[in-house]
Amino acid sequence: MNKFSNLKKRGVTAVEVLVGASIAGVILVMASYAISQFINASSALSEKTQAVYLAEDGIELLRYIRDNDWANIGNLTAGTTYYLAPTATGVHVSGTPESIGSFNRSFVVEQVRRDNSSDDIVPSGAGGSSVDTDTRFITVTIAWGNPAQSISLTSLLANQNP
Amino acid sequence: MRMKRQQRGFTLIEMLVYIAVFVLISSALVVTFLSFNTTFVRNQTERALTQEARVALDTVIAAVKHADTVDGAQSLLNVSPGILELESGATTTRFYISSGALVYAINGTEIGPLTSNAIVVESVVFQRYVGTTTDMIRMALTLHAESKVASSTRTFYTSAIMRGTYE
Repeated sequence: MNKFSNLKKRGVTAVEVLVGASIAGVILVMASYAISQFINASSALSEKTQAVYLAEDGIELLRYIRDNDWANIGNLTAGTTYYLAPTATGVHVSGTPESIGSFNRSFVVEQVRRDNSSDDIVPSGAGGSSVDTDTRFITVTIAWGNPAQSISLTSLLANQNP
Repeated sequence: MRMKRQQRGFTLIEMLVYIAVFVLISSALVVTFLSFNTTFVRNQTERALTQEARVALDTVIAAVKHADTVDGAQSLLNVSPGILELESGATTTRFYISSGALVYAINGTEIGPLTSNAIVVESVVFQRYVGTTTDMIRMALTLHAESKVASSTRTFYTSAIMRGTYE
Protein backbone atom coordinates (compact mmCIF):
# COMPACT_ATOMS: atom_id res chain seq x y z
CA MET A 1 0.00 0.00 0.00
CA ASN A 2 2.78 2.34 0.83
CA LYS A 3 4.22 1.84 -2.62
CA PHE A 4 0.99 2.83 -4.33
CA SER A 5 0.32 5.82 -2.16
CA ASN A 6 3.80 6.93 -3.21
CA LEU A 7 2.80 6.51 -6.82
CA LYS A 8 -0.30 8.55 -6.21
CA LYS A 9 1.86 11.32 -4.83
CA ARG A 10 3.95 11.11 -7.95
CA GLY A 11 0.85 11.79 -9.98
CA VAL A 12 0.64 15.19 -8.36
CA THR A 13 4.20 15.95 -9.38
CA ALA A 14 3.15 15.80 -13.07
CA VAL A 15 1.81 19.34 -12.66
CA GLU A 16 5.04 20.28 -10.99
CA VAL A 17 6.91 18.82 -13.93
CA LEU A 18 4.89 20.95 -16.32
CA VAL A 19 5.61 24.04 -14.22
CA GLY A 20 9.27 23.06 -14.14
CA ALA A 21 9.24 22.50 -17.89
CA SER A 22 7.77 25.92 -18.58
CA ILE A 23 10.37 27.56 -16.33
CA ALA A 24 13.11 25.64 -18.12
CA GLY A 25 11.56 26.70 -21.42
CA VAL A 26 11.66 30.36 -20.47
CA ILE A 27 15.29 29.99 -19.39
CA LEU A 28 16.19 28.31 -22.68
CA VAL A 29 14.51 31.05 -24.71
CA MET A 30 16.47 33.64 -22.73
CA ALA A 31 19.67 31.68 -23.24
CA SER A 32 19.15 31.45 -27.01
CA TYR A 33 18.44 35.19 -27.09
CA ALA A 34 21.71 35.75 -25.24
CA ILE A 35 23.49 33.54 -27.75
CA SER A 36 22.16 35.49 -30.72
CA GLN A 37 23.32 38.68 -28.98
CA PHE A 38 26.79 37.18 -28.58
CA ILE A 39 26.91 36.31 -32.27
CA ASN A 40 25.86 39.83 -33.21
CA ALA A 41 28.42 41.30 -30.82
CA SER A 42 31.30 39.33 -32.32
CA SER A 43 30.57 40.32 -35.91
CA ALA A 44 29.74 43.88 -34.78
CA LEU A 45 33.22 44.08 -33.24
CA SER A 46 34.88 43.10 -36.53
CA GLU A 47 32.69 45.43 -38.57
CA LYS A 48 33.44 48.32 -36.27
CA THR A 49 37.17 47.65 -36.57
CA GLN A 50 36.85 47.67 -40.36
CA ALA A 51 34.84 50.91 -40.18
CA VAL A 52 37.40 52.66 -37.94
CA TYR A 53 40.24 51.76 -40.34
CA LEU A 54 38.17 53.05 -43.27
CA ALA A 55 37.52 56.32 -41.42
CA GLU A 56 41.25 56.72 -40.62
CA ASP A 57 42.01 55.91 -44.26
CA GLY A 58 39.57 58.68 -45.23
CA ILE A 59 41.25 61.25 -42.97
CA GLU A 60 44.67 60.33 -44.37
CA LEU A 61 43.37 60.53 -47.97
CA LEU A 62 42.05 64.04 -47.20
CA ARG A 63 45.47 64.99 -45.79
CA TYR A 64 47.03 63.81 -49.03
CA ILE A 65 44.47 65.80 -51.07
CA ARG A 66 45.29 68.81 -48.87
CA ASP A 67 49.03 68.31 -49.48
CA ASN A 68 48.50 68.33 -53.25
CA ASP A 69 46.71 71.68 -53.20
CA TRP A 70 44.97 73.46 -50.34
CA ALA A 71 42.31 74.67 -52.78
CA ASN A 72 41.09 71.05 -53.07
CA ILE A 73 39.89 71.32 -49.48
CA GLY A 74 39.56 75.09 -49.04
CA ASN A 75 37.20 75.50 -51.98
CA LEU A 76 34.72 72.86 -50.82
CA THR A 77 31.34 74.18 -49.69
CA ALA A 78 30.96 74.02 -45.91
CA GLY A 79 28.24 71.69 -44.69
CA THR A 80 27.90 69.81 -48.01
CA THR A 81 28.42 66.04 -48.02
CA TYR A 82 31.28 64.99 -50.29
CA TYR A 83 32.81 61.63 -51.14
CA LEU A 84 36.27 60.31 -51.85
CA ALA A 85 37.11 58.63 -55.16
CA PRO A 86 40.35 56.68 -54.75
CA THR A 87 41.92 54.96 -57.76
CA ALA A 88 45.08 52.88 -58.13
CA THR A 89 47.27 55.96 -58.47
CA GLY A 90 45.47 58.82 -56.75
CA VAL A 91 42.36 60.17 -55.13
CA HIS A 92 40.05 63.12 -55.67
CA VAL A 93 36.93 64.58 -54.08
CA SER A 94 33.72 63.60 -55.80
CA GLY A 95 29.96 64.08 -55.57
CA THR A 96 29.28 60.40 -56.22
CA PRO A 97 28.67 58.23 -53.11
CA GLU A 98 31.53 55.88 -52.32
CA SER A 99 30.95 52.36 -51.11
CA ILE A 100 33.65 49.93 -50.00
CA GLY A 101 32.12 46.48 -49.61
CA SER A 102 29.13 47.01 -47.32
CA PHE A 103 30.47 50.33 -45.99
CA ASN A 104 29.57 53.80 -47.22
CA ARG A 105 32.03 56.63 -46.73
CA SER A 106 31.32 60.35 -46.84
CA PHE A 107 32.78 63.52 -45.39
CA VAL A 108 31.75 67.02 -44.48
CA VAL A 109 33.93 70.14 -44.32
CA GLU A 110 33.17 72.89 -41.82
CA GLN A 111 34.61 76.37 -41.47
CA VAL A 112 36.75 77.25 -38.49
CA ARG A 113 36.60 80.58 -36.67
CA ARG A 114 39.54 82.10 -34.84
CA ASP A 115 39.66 84.81 -32.22
CA ASN A 116 40.92 88.04 -33.80
CA SER A 117 43.52 88.75 -31.11
CA SER A 118 44.61 85.32 -29.76
CA ASP A 119 44.10 83.29 -33.00
CA ASP A 120 42.55 80.53 -30.86
CA ILE A 121 39.84 78.44 -32.47
CA VAL A 122 36.48 79.55 -31.08
CA PRO A 123 32.90 78.29 -31.48
CA SER A 124 30.90 79.71 -34.37
CA GLY A 125 29.10 82.87 -33.32
CA ALA A 126 31.78 83.95 -30.84
CA GLY A 127 32.31 87.69 -30.83
CA GLY A 128 35.54 89.25 -32.13
CA SER A 129 36.30 86.27 -34.33
CA SER A 130 36.52 85.64 -38.05
CA VAL A 131 36.62 82.66 -40.41
CA ASP A 132 40.08 81.22 -40.97
CA THR A 133 40.32 80.47 -44.69
CA ASP A 134 43.41 78.32 -44.12
CA THR A 135 41.85 75.86 -41.67
CA ARG A 136 38.96 73.45 -42.06
CA PHE A 137 37.26 71.01 -39.70
CA ILE A 138 36.55 67.68 -41.42
CA THR A 139 34.27 64.84 -40.33
CA VAL A 140 34.59 61.47 -42.06
CA THR A 141 31.58 59.20 -41.56
CA ILE A 142 31.36 55.46 -42.23
CA ALA A 143 27.85 54.00 -42.37
CA TRP A 144 26.98 50.33 -42.67
CA GLY A 145 24.72 47.49 -41.69
CA ASN A 146 21.11 46.76 -40.99
CA PRO A 147 20.09 48.14 -38.51
CA ALA A 148 22.09 51.12 -39.70
CA GLN A 149 25.25 51.94 -37.79
CA SER A 150 27.82 54.63 -38.27
CA ILE A 151 31.02 56.04 -36.84
CA SER A 152 32.63 59.40 -37.42
CA LEU A 153 36.20 60.64 -37.06
CA THR A 154 37.08 64.31 -37.09
CA SER A 155 40.25 66.26 -37.76
CA LEU A 156 41.46 69.75 -38.42
CA LEU A 157 43.20 70.35 -41.73
CA ALA A 158 45.38 73.41 -42.24
CA ASN A 159 46.96 74.96 -45.30
CA GLN A 160 50.66 74.08 -45.18
CA ASN A 161 51.66 76.96 -47.44
CA PRO A 162 49.36 79.88 -46.56
CA MET B 1 -6.19 -5.34 -6.90
CA ARG B 2 -8.30 -3.66 -9.60
CA MET B 3 -7.90 -0.36 -7.87
CA LYS B 4 -4.19 -0.85 -7.76
CA ARG B 5 -4.06 -1.77 -11.47
CA GLN B 6 -6.04 1.31 -12.39
CA GLN B 7 -3.69 3.45 -10.38
CA ARG B 8 -0.75 1.86 -12.10
CA GLY B 9 -2.20 2.57 -15.56
CA PHE B 10 -2.63 6.18 -14.66
CA THR B 11 0.97 6.54 -13.53
CA LEU B 12 2.21 4.92 -16.75
CA ILE B 13 0.61 7.70 -18.78
CA GLU B 14 2.14 10.10 -16.37
CA MET B 15 5.47 8.46 -16.94
CA LEU B 16 5.02 8.80 -20.69
CA VAL B 17 4.20 12.48 -20.32
CA TYR B 18 7.11 12.90 -17.97
CA ILE B 19 9.49 11.13 -20.35
CA ALA B 20 8.22 13.21 -23.27
CA VAL B 21 8.77 16.40 -21.30
CA PHE B 22 12.16 15.17 -20.14
CA VAL B 23 13.23 14.33 -23.70
CA LEU B 24 12.04 17.73 -24.92
CA ILE B 25 13.90 19.61 -22.22
CA SER B 26 17.09 17.61 -22.49
CA SER B 27 17.20 17.89 -26.29
CA ALA B 28 16.61 21.62 -25.99
CA LEU B 29 19.43 21.76 -23.45
CA VAL B 30 21.77 19.86 -25.76
CA VAL B 31 20.93 22.17 -28.66
CA THR B 32 21.49 25.21 -26.45
CA PHE B 33 24.87 24.00 -25.28
CA LEU B 34 25.92 23.11 -28.81
CA SER B 35 25.02 26.60 -30.04
CA PHE B 36 26.85 28.04 -27.04
CA ASN B 37 29.93 26.20 -28.25
CA THR B 38 29.41 27.38 -31.83
CA THR B 39 29.01 30.94 -30.64
CA PHE B 40 32.15 30.71 -28.58
CA VAL B 41 34.20 29.45 -31.53
CA ARG B 42 32.67 32.05 -33.86
CA ASN B 43 33.52 34.76 -31.35
CA GLN B 44 37.06 33.45 -31.11
CA THR B 45 37.40 33.37 -34.91
CA GLU B 46 36.21 36.95 -35.30
CA ARG B 47 38.39 38.15 -32.47
CA ALA B 48 41.47 36.42 -33.89
CA LEU B 49 40.78 37.98 -37.28
CA THR B 50 40.45 41.55 -36.02
CA GLN B 51 43.41 41.17 -33.69
CA GLU B 52 45.68 39.89 -36.47
CA ALA B 53 44.43 42.60 -38.83
CA ARG B 54 45.16 45.29 -36.28
CA VAL B 55 48.73 44.11 -35.67
CA ALA B 56 49.47 43.78 -39.39
CA LEU B 57 47.92 47.12 -40.42
CA ASP B 58 49.40 49.11 -37.56
CA THR B 59 52.89 47.71 -38.15
CA VAL B 60 52.81 48.50 -41.87
CA ILE B 61 51.34 51.96 -41.26
CA ALA B 62 53.97 52.81 -38.63
CA ALA B 63 56.71 51.76 -41.07
CA VAL B 64 55.16 53.78 -43.92
CA LYS B 65 54.90 56.91 -41.76
CA HIS B 66 58.54 56.47 -40.80
CA ALA B 67 59.70 56.05 -44.39
CA ASP B 68 61.26 58.53 -46.80
CA THR B 69 60.39 56.72 -50.00
CA VAL B 70 59.38 53.46 -51.68
CA ASP B 71 61.84 51.33 -53.62
CA GLY B 72 59.77 51.02 -56.77
CA ALA B 73 62.02 48.40 -58.35
CA GLN B 74 61.86 46.11 -55.32
CA SER B 75 58.14 46.61 -54.69
CA LEU B 76 55.19 44.94 -56.36
CA LEU B 77 52.32 47.43 -56.40
CA ASN B 78 48.64 47.15 -57.44
CA VAL B 79 48.65 43.33 -57.49
CA SER B 80 48.12 40.61 -54.91
CA PRO B 81 50.19 39.32 -53.25
CA GLY B 82 51.98 42.65 -53.22
CA ILE B 83 55.45 43.53 -51.99
CA LEU B 84 56.31 46.82 -50.32
CA GLU B 85 59.87 47.93 -49.78
CA LEU B 86 60.30 51.13 -47.83
CA GLU B 87 63.44 53.19 -47.38
CA SER B 88 64.10 55.20 -44.26
CA GLY B 89 67.63 56.57 -44.30
CA ALA B 90 69.88 53.54 -44.72
CA THR B 91 67.22 51.14 -43.45
CA THR B 92 65.01 49.18 -45.80
CA THR B 93 61.83 47.53 -44.56
CA ARG B 94 60.18 44.95 -46.75
CA PHE B 95 56.66 43.50 -46.41
CA TYR B 96 55.67 40.42 -48.38
CA ILE B 97 53.62 37.23 -48.28
CA SER B 98 55.26 33.94 -47.37
CA SER B 99 53.21 30.74 -46.97
CA GLY B 100 49.97 32.57 -46.19
CA ALA B 101 51.45 35.00 -43.68
CA LEU B 102 52.42 38.65 -43.99
CA VAL B 103 56.16 38.75 -43.25
CA TYR B 104 58.54 41.64 -42.82
CA ALA B 105 62.26 41.96 -43.18
CA ILE B 106 64.66 44.75 -42.24
CA ASN B 107 67.77 45.29 -44.35
CA GLY B 108 67.21 41.92 -46.01
CA THR B 109 66.98 39.96 -42.75
CA GLU B 110 63.62 38.35 -42.15
CA ILE B 111 62.26 39.49 -38.79
CA GLY B 112 59.19 37.29 -38.78
CA PRO B 113 55.53 37.03 -39.64
CA LEU B 114 52.97 39.66 -38.61
CA THR B 115 50.10 37.19 -38.83
CA SER B 116 49.89 33.83 -37.08
CA ASN B 117 49.05 30.51 -38.71
CA ALA B 118 45.54 30.75 -37.20
CA ILE B 119 44.59 32.91 -40.16
CA VAL B 120 45.41 33.09 -43.87
CA VAL B 121 46.24 36.26 -45.76
CA GLU B 122 44.01 35.90 -48.80
CA SER B 123 45.13 39.06 -50.49
CA VAL B 124 47.34 42.06 -49.88
CA VAL B 125 47.55 44.97 -52.30
CA PHE B 126 49.78 48.02 -51.96
CA GLN B 127 49.12 51.20 -53.91
CA ARG B 128 51.29 54.25 -54.21
CA TYR B 129 49.93 57.75 -54.69
CA VAL B 130 52.60 60.18 -55.84
CA GLY B 131 51.34 63.66 -55.06
CA THR B 132 52.69 67.11 -55.83
CA THR B 133 54.40 67.34 -52.44
CA THR B 134 53.78 64.09 -50.57
CA ASP B 135 53.85 60.38 -51.31
CA MET B 136 51.29 57.99 -49.91
CA ILE B 137 50.87 54.23 -49.52
CA ARG B 138 47.46 52.55 -49.40
CA MET B 139 47.01 48.97 -48.32
CA ALA B 140 44.10 46.54 -48.69
CA LEU B 141 44.43 43.41 -46.59
CA THR B 142 42.02 40.49 -46.81
CA LEU B 143 42.24 37.97 -43.99
CA HIS B 144 40.48 34.63 -43.70
CA ALA B 145 39.98 32.72 -40.46
CA GLU B 146 38.49 29.27 -40.42
CA SER B 147 37.47 26.74 -37.78
CA LYS B 148 35.20 23.68 -37.87
CA VAL B 149 32.03 25.63 -37.15
CA ALA B 150 32.83 29.15 -38.28
CA SER B 151 34.72 31.00 -40.97
CA SER B 152 35.18 34.69 -41.62
CA THR B 153 36.78 36.73 -44.39
CA ARG B 154 37.25 40.45 -43.98
CA THR B 155 39.05 43.16 -45.93
CA PHE B 156 40.71 46.06 -44.13
CA TYR B 157 41.87 49.29 -45.76
CA THR B 158 44.40 51.70 -44.45
CA SER B 159 46.71 54.37 -45.77
CA ALA B 160 49.50 56.62 -44.66
CA ILE B 161 51.53 59.46 -46.07
CA MET B 162 55.26 58.82 -45.87
CA ARG B 163 56.18 61.53 -43.39
CA GLY B 164 59.70 61.65 -44.89
CA THR B 165 58.17 63.20 -48.02
CA TYR B 166 57.19 66.35 -46.12
CA GLU B 167 60.02 68.84 -46.49
